[in-house]
Amino acid sequence: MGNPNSGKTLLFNQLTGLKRKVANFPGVTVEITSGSYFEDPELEIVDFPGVYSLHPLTQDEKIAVENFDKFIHHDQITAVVCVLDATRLQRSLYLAFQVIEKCRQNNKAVFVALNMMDEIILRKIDLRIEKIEEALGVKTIGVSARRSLGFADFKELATQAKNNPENLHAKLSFEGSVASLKDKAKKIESELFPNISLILKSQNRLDRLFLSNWLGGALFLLTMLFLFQSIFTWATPMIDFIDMCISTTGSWVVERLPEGFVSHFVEDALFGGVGSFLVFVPQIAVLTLIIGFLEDSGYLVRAAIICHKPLSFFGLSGKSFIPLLSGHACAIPAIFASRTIESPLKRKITMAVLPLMSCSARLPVYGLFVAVLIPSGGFFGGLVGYQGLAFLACYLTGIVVALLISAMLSKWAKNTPDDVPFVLELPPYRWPHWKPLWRKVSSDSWAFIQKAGGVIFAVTMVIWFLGYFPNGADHLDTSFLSYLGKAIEPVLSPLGLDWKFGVAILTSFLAREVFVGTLGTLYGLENAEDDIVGLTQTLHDHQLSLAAGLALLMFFVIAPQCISTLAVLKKETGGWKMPIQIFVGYTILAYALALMVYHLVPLL
Amino acid sequence: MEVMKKLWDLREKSEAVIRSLDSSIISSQYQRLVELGIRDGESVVCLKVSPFGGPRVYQVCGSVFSIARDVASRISIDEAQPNSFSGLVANV
Repeated sequence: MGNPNSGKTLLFNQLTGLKRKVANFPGVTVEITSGSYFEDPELEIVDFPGVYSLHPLTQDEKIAVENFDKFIHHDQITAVVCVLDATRLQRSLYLAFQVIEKCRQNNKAVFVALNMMDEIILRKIDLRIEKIEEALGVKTIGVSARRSLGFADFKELATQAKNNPENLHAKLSFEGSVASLKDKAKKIESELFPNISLILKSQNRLDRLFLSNWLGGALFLLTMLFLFQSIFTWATPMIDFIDMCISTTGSWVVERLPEGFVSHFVEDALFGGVGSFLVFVPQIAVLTLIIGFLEDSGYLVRAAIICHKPLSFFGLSGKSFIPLLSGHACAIPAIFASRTIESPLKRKITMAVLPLMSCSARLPVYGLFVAVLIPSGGFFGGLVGYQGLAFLACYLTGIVVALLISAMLSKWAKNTPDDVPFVLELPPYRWPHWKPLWRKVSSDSWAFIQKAGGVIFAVTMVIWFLGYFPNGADHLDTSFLSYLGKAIEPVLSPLGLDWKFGVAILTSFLAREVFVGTLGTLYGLENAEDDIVGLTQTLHDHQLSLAAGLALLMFFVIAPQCISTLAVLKKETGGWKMPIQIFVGYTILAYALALMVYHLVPLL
Repeated sequence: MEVMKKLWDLREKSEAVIRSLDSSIISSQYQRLVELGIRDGESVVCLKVSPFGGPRVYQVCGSVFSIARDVASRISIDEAQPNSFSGLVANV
């Protein structure tokens, strides 16, 4: 157990080597995870979400405290570890009192890990660990998760907890009111650590920059611009490289296969379908990396403060900012992150508009159409690319629609008097540790590749079979698939799209990223005699009209094409009402806006 | 009697002592504020006043908080005499 930002998750990460992420924002780690100690698989460590106290306020704290209550009665749990931030002793001690008292009442072994000791040593502060041990009446060790210090002591105490738990039982009682415990924490801090404000010096200096009236806002906008630009610019070399690898391997394999059914399958379904999706993995990696960096450094909380006032015009609060931003990676963790919003109404509105954030599953679709429709090059010698700007426009469209909808929703619900006021703690700025960041990026990218290997592979295979039979390659127009596609064509022809897009859109309601794979397979089937060329090139050659392309982009910005998101929404809201409303509402809205784009673009 | 000053009235870079928390703050939030150290008797420094009435930044109890007007206008303060709490200001 520990406060948010006590470095608990990094400690957990370092001790277990598990794929986990640390969040510098109060309570982003909402699900409870466990892992084995790296030197001893017998020793299992459970990571709890950060809480300020055992009297929970937000949804994620409630989940953490409820689980803690369950765990403490569990025989398998040999000891509770209290993680304290040595640089913020008073606040850490208050939670430690509560946890120690709880363990004392339940005869559970408990010890304290005083984290961030590296910062204490660096500042040459004389902090006596044995004094803290004396004041708390439980064994206390100093650790530094960042520098991997004190892990041997941790191991020793954990082993002791297993063999002689009574050695680690709490000796002192901490019963009392909130105020009396706070007084006690304050007293211990002032005795042991009188110059606490030293630590805040550098934090306040940085905040004067990042939160300054104009510069702070400008820096915020620059950061966001940088985020979206880099998705395109940084990832391009990697994308080209992967594209080249896939084409080369594809041609190499196909040349060595006898001409016929198998070679057609490998060429169109395997390399054309799955391959065209894999190309977009670098963009997902770059996006995850930058959001992760901003989160771990502590900047996201500042961004939430900057956004509070503007967001409150739309019925949201600054706390909605983190879920909304992480919604750009994936809506599902973002929905979980919205548990940190105390106000039930604002939380609900945030969840309702989250699916409008352009998640990374839309990236392949945006990437494809931006590359087809928008010329490369840009302003300032290519520094600000046209394609990057087009990307930004897609994202902004989603955000603007989301804000308008949340404003509408909060207008409708304005007589709900549950407005919880806005108080947010500013964590210290910390240089993110590369390890959890790297783990986050690699696990997210890997999850996408696995998805491509599973769902997308299955869908492209079915599509390929339906498109190949009964008449074989080159006869896509008379295939089973074309009958299906032509049946739904009337819905799509008003948008200037043919039935191939219809099939791709239909499959994309399973998961958006399937779209590109389906399209790749379809065009591969049609041009069976061609060499494998990128899907971008194929669409270029087919001269997709600008209006139809933009209409399709508009559709993808809004449409709720993700079964998993709807399922998670159902779980979080406890019913099908909201997911169904979202699905029907956004699909209609997406279609209407796409229709508008298709008819307005030629007029420009 | 003079109306008590609120935390929201505290000017940038000045400090004060919290006198009381308004009873109109809902109880769960009230308790959390106390737990965070935002309670009577604590010294508070206003680090930043944001433009357009955005949330302001305060230092209390060795932590820094961003507090919006809806809370800050419900916390009563006593403005400190000059120099009496200078030790608490972290390089403001």
